[in-house]
Amino acid sequence: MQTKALPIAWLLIVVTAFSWLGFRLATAPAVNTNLLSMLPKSAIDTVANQTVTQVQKRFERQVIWLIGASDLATASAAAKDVFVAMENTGQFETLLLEHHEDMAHRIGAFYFPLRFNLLSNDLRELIKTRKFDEIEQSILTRYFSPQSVLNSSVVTKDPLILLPQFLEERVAQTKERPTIENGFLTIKADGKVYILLAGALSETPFSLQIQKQVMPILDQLRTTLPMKYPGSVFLMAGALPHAAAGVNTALDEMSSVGLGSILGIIIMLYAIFRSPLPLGLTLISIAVGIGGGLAACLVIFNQVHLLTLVFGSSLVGISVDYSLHYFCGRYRYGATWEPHGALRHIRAGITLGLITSVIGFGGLLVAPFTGMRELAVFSSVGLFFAFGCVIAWYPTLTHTLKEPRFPKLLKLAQIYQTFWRRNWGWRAKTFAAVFLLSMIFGCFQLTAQDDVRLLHTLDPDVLAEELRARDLIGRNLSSQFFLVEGIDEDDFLFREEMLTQQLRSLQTEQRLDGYLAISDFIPSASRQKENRELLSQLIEGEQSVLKRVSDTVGLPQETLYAYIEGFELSASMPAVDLNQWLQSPVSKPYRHLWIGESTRGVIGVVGLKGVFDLSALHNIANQDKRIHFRDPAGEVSNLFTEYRQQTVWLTLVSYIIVMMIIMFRYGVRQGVAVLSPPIIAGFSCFGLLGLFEQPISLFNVMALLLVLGIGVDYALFFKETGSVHPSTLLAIGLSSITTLLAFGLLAFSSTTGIHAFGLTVMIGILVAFLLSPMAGMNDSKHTG
Amino acid sequence: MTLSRIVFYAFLWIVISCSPALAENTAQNLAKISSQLSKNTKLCADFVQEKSLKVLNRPLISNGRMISLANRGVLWEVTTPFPSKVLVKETEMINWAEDGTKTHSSYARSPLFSALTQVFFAMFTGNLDKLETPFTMISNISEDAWQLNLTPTGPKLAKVISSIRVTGQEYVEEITIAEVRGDTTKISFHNITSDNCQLRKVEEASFAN
Repeated sequence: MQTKALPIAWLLIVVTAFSWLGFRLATAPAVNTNLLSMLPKSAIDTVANQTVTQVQKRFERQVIWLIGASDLATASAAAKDVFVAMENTGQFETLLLEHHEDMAHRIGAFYFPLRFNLLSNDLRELIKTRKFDEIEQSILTRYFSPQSVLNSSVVTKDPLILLPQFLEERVAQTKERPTIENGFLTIKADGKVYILLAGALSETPFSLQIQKQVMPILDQLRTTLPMKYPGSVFLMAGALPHAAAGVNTALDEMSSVGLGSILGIIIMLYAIFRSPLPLGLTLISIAVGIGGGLAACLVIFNQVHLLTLVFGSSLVGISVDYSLHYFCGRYRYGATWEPHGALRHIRAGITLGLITSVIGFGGLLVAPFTGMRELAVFSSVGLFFAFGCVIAWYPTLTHTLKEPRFPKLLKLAQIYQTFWRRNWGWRAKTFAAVFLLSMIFGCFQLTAQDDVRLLHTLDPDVLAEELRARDLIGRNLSSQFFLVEGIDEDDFLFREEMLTQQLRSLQTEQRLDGYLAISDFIPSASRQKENRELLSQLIEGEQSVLKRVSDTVGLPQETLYAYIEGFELSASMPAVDLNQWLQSPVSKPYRHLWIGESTRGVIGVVGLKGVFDLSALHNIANQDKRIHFRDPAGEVSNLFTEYRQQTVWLTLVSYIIVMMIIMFRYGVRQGVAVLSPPIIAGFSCFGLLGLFEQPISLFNVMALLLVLGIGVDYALFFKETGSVHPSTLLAIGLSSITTLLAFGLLAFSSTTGIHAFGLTVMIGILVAFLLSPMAGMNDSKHTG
Repeated sequence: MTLSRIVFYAFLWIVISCSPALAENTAQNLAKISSQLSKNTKLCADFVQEKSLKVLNRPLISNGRMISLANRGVLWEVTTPFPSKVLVKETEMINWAEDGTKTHSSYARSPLFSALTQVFFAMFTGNLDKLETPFTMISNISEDAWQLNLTPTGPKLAKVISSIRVTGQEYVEEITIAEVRGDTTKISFHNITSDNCQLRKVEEASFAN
């Protein structure tokens, strides 16, 4: 018979699912901790997107330390300690502490032969606008200034002082402050000497393994360094400390939310039923639910995101409902209670509840948002597994269930329920009307906030340290950047030069602070040719700038002619190209800007500093389809906006379907009664948020979905299992307490999004519970 | 043992046994010079810079005004023949272009200029001991004047500078830098004032950076 086959069949399913889950968890990593990886990747341009991912991965693996002390010797000893400790972790691909002292010499050696092909941007402009007097003046100023870098050798080979001018402009462009001293990159600030140590992790900083290997050692260094080297300062910047802090918060929250709700449920169940059986079975069904949800996520997505687990841990609060309804039925029948009858009594209610919940979550499945889809699968499958336990196992296992003694709570439920049966006077009706109107008014007051920080609440201490370090170094690249594509290396440089020309005019208009581009360090072949042509205007002719400068400073004729001859001879020399630059040590600080080959040619990055006009940058990118402007933070915010709006529509559509099912079953009049509590609850959440001027985001909308789902559940249970006996209200009351325990705790999350989610659910569930007897109101009038 | 060996050892012995005395002598002299140098928080002077590059037919001569404020830096204003202005601070250097726009830069780029600045800061604050590590110092003192010869000890500086000579009385009066390549730069100071030095508004503003 069905009664025998079903429990065994379900047991087989559960055992299979758990065996697979155990195997899967033991063999491969399952949890993804990168909060932003939950977000969808826009699929407009794959090459550009792949590069963006690559660039982001490269940037996020970088870690920078600044070790400061009162003198260079102490700072370098402390920095060496950090270097050795980090190298010993074996988690770094590169770690760079000591540098070649003769970088200046190398720069000279690389650029000197190229000097006739290089001009500073300033000088190019001056030659193009034929401001020769001004050029002469500025060159002579250099000759006579006390800080001049001139010596006989420079004057002989570069009498117009072009190369120093070009190199100075490059240094000014990067705005970085470290200088090499004793082989260390050092920065002097506020009476201290800081040494820069830079490293790149071998894997993503979101890897839990890397965090476990590196972070404890760093924490230890933080305490031991000031003891070993009094007065020393330890600063760290990069994605690693943020990732570690974020994971710690998420893990803490997950365990406290999960633990809090489990503990609450255990205490409550035991207090009410005074028997281990209901408690044990409820915990089993919760565990089976979570396990089933997790397994389904891993089957479908091959991973589960940390945030899904955090949200999912609150699934406990819903999956417990089915059990609660079953056990609360025990009050109803007293001595005549019988397991299969009890199940029959609640089956329609919890089945409808499951269906509406799954439809509600199903809406999320349509969203192209990994995190939401994971959540939908996790919740739907998890609920189904918890439901299955009640249907398949409870009747067979609960023959011995005694009648619980706890009439006080029942009494309370009874009192509250009779309150709803009273004929409502005009006062109550006015109150209800005013309440509803103010909630609707509140909804119109709502403002949206879709910032990326919703998901990524940065630890303030880690952030402050990072900003301090970046400030000291002067490396404050903004999160926006350009991607430049080229058919080949030279085409890339050429396009990038077109781009930087526009960026420079934005710079003079103070709409941009600065930029960092490869072509500034190695111009394209055509730019090099153009530079030569421009330079010839300064060199050739009897009244040339070169001639006039030579006369003023007293450069001998033969030196002058030797220089001119050198310029003419260099015309036959091949131009130095990007690959030669990349192979030279002079490119080392800027190589991260070069990505290399893509499926469409080659690709590189232009870094930006101080962006004040996003639309201007978007406009520049629109002119050339091989130039892409990327604003990852802005893109995430836009996605949040887009998905907030999308989720609102999905919720509406899902609930129109739910509404139709309910109307179909109960008819319009009773259907309205069933739907009123969840809908009023939804309005109340958003109305209150609006009245208290809390901005809403995607997370509030997701919470609304849950409120509607749970609210419909409550009303349905009420409707299906009868509104006369208070046991239903008790079950709903208990389940709303567990739900509040689960989601109410989320309201204390430090991640803005999760906090918003928890708060919204808390308000909604409370209202939905208080209003749930409404679902039976029309009923009672009929039945008397 | 040959005679030359004996002479050599004798010489060596003299050098070794005399060197503490020499060092002591230098230390005493340095203390004397330090005490002679007026330690003022403010110092103004007109300067003439004479830069003689081996390859040029004539020296490059420029005139200007120099203002040194303790802890705030040294401002060099060239007035003729081509005006320019630079403020040298302990950690950075600020250049003003003709149109008033300024650029900040790290000042270690020109080893010559950074050595000069180092000597300057030491002289103006009377902290001659700060020069003992980067340079070997030989001093020469007469009744009312003194002379210091500095030879760089570090290989980086020694590659560029062969020696620096500083002369003065109450104030530093002349600094001459001889480069390895044979170029020399001589800066002489006149009309040196300290307490009576009035800063113009523009100059005040320049220091505010």
